[in-house]
Order: sequence, then structure tokens, then C-alpha cells
Amino acid sequence: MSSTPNMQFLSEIKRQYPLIGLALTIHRSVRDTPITFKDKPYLIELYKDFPVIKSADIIKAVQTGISELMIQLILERSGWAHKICAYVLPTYSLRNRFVQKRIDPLLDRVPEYKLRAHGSGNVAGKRFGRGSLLFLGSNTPSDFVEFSADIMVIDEFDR
Amino acid sequence: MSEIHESIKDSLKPLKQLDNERDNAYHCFLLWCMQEESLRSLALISRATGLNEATIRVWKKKYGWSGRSGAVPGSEVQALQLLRARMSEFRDEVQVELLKSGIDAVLEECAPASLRSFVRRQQQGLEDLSEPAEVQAYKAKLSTPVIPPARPEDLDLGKYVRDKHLTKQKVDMQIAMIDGAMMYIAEAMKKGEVKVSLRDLPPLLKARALLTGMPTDNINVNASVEVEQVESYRVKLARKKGGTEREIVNAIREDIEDIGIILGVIGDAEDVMPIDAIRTERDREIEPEKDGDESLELEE
Repeated sequence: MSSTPNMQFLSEIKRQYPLIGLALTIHRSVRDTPITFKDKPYLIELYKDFPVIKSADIIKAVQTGISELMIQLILERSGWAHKICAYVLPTYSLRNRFVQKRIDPLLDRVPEYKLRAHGSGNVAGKRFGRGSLLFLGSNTPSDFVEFSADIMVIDEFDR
Repeated sequence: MSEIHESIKDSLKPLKQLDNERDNAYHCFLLWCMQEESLRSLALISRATGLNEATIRVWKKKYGWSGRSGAVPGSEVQALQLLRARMSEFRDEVQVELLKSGIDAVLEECAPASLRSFVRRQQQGLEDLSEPAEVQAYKAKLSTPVIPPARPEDLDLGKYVRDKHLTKQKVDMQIAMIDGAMMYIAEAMKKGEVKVSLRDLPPLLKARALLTGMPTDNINVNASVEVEQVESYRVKLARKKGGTEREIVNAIREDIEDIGIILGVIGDAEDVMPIDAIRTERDREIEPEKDGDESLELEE
């Protein structure tokens, strides 16, 4: 495969900003479409900074691409940066639906993810790369016992 | 000569795909052959290929992997080359990626030292490439060669340089020059007189180690210049769908638009005040108001 200038740009972007690199070269939406920033340029700074900032609170409208960003954040931090990532959703059933509809298809279909996913795991926890992915329902206190996490994403906080 | 080639081909026959052997089963067999005999793991193959371990176990028995692998001396190297050759036969990017990841996983976790050494030598362009074309068919090139293989004229030049410049006297002189250069870099860095960086040191250290016979494994001269070539998912998808040249070019064009937007935003973001500075600025603005309020309260 010959090298094109945009491949070199992509390499450099991937090296400097791993999450943007992941979005452009590996990740895809549930509908199997590539991630684009053309219609959502406001996401670029978030993709750039999220792997390095300590914390952030976001109040947002629906369909802004933030959940997709969060999915990529936990996959990248776990699979490539070897971190333990916890993703909290308001309820147990919402957690199950989220994992089955948005996470499992990716781990099953994207070769780079598939390689890092050690089997399908279960809905609540998966080993991914050298890190782990934990999916918790905030209405089940037992989920929050006996676990530690380097990165915590709390989604749908207001529900 | 052709007899030799025939005998080589015959000796590799056990590693060839059987007529009734499915592609996936054959790839697993080759990955299995690549592994160190005492470390062979079906679980690793299952993990790397995403295929069921029990199925792979069935294939192992059904297609007589142990016998076939044992019949070929150095089967691990041959298996690696056969796998690489097969990668070029597939148009399906996912299949190719899976094969690549399988090879990487085996090389990383349980390849025998001889195979790892072979790959390292090939990466350095040191593996003997002077065999005839028929034998070369089993020697697929690395997918991402780090250094291009040496050309014959380069090898002759190497001999010329060795004979002329690597005499005892000259080697001592060269070592002294390298030491001098390193001291110069250290001094220059200390005084800030010359723009040099730590990246300038590894080539000198490696040259010195080569001349003095010290180990060079831990000196990575190329690390700073190696660039991984990546392709966007958009372009991969266009290729995977068997897109026309125009569709692939369109995908590349869309990539460039995206990259332009990203670089634009990142460039602008560098001009934005860092968040801590914003907070300090805001606190400074708020503080006098607080003072004012307090004084008003006191007056009241």
C-alpha cells in the first residue's frame, strides 16, 4: 500500500491526539459509517482534550455526538492506554440495552476492537486490551462494591 | 538447479493447504506452526482470529496439524512466509487485518527465538535475499518494511568501506572522534550555543558500540524517524466495498476536508487561554466586586 499525504497527516494526528486518531482510522458508528467532524466541529476539542483532562461536566442537547465520544474514550483508554474504565448509566436495564446495542456490535465487528476483546465477556464487565470496561447501573448499589476505576463516565446523569 | 527447487517445494508440501481444508482452518494451522512447540496455544489463535477454540481443536485433529508441522524443519518461518503470501491474495480488508493481528499476536506472545530473530533480520534488511525467484515465492516481504533491503552495490560499498576504513588504527581514531562529538554535543547543550537534541546521540552511541564490539540491541536509532502509516476507516470502507478509483479518491478527499477542519480547530485552540488562566482571570474580576459589596454592606 503506497503512502499518501493524508496517511502521513493521519499518522501524526493519531500520534498527537490518540482519540481523534481512533475516530478517524478505527471507529465507526453503529450504522457502520465513518466518524466525521464536518457537521460537528465543536467535538474536535473534546476529542483532543478528553484523554488528558482530569474531569469535565457536560450539559448538552440530544444527538450531539457526545455518547459516541464517550464510547471511544473508554475503548481507547482501556484498549490502548491500559486503564480500567467505568461507564455508569441510570438504570440496570438502560445499561444492558446500551451494552448490547452500542458496545457489543463494535467489539464484534471492528477488527482492532475484536482483537482486544477477550471473548464477549458479560454485560457488566469486559476485559479489553490490557484494561477493563465496566458498565454499571446506578440504581444497583451492588455494582459499586469492590471495584476501582481510572476513568469514570456518568451518562444521562439527569435521568 | 530446478531439481533443488522441486525438492524444496516437496519438502514444504505438508504446509500447503489441503484440498478439503477451509481457508480459516488453514490460517489457524499456519498460526499454530508459527508458535514455539512447547508454548503452542489454541486459545491464543482463538483470541487472535475470533474463531471458537473448540472448532480450532477439531481442525487440529481433523487436518493432522502435528504431523504436518513436524514433517517440515523450520516450519515456523515457512508458515510465517506462507501467511504473508496469503495476505496479498485477499481483497477483504477485515480478513487481512485479522491475519495481520494473528501474526502479531503470535510473534509477540509465543514465537520461537529463531522466528523472532528472522523477523528482526528481515526488518533490518539483513536476511539473505540472494536466493532464486522460485524460493523467493515463499519469502513474502514484510508488510511494513522499516529499512529497505540492501542493494548489491551497497554491499560492495560496505566491503570497500570495511577494508579501507576499519583498520585498527582508523577505528581508534573514529572512536576518539565519536567521543569528541558526544562531548561537543553535551557541551553545546549545556551552554545552549548550538541547537542539538538528545536524538542526535543514539546514532553516535550505536556507531561507537559497533566499533568497540559492544551490544547494540538496546540502542534504537530509528525510533525517532519511524512513522506508522495509517488509513482512515472511510478509505478502508471504500476499498472493502470494491469501490472504483473515483470513489476511493472521494473518500481521500473527504479525509482531507476532515483533517483540514481538525487542524483548523486545533490551531485555533492553541490561541485560546488555558482553562486555569481563565479561572484566575475570572477570580480576579470577581474579587473587586466582592470587596465592593462588602464595603457597601459595612456602610449600611
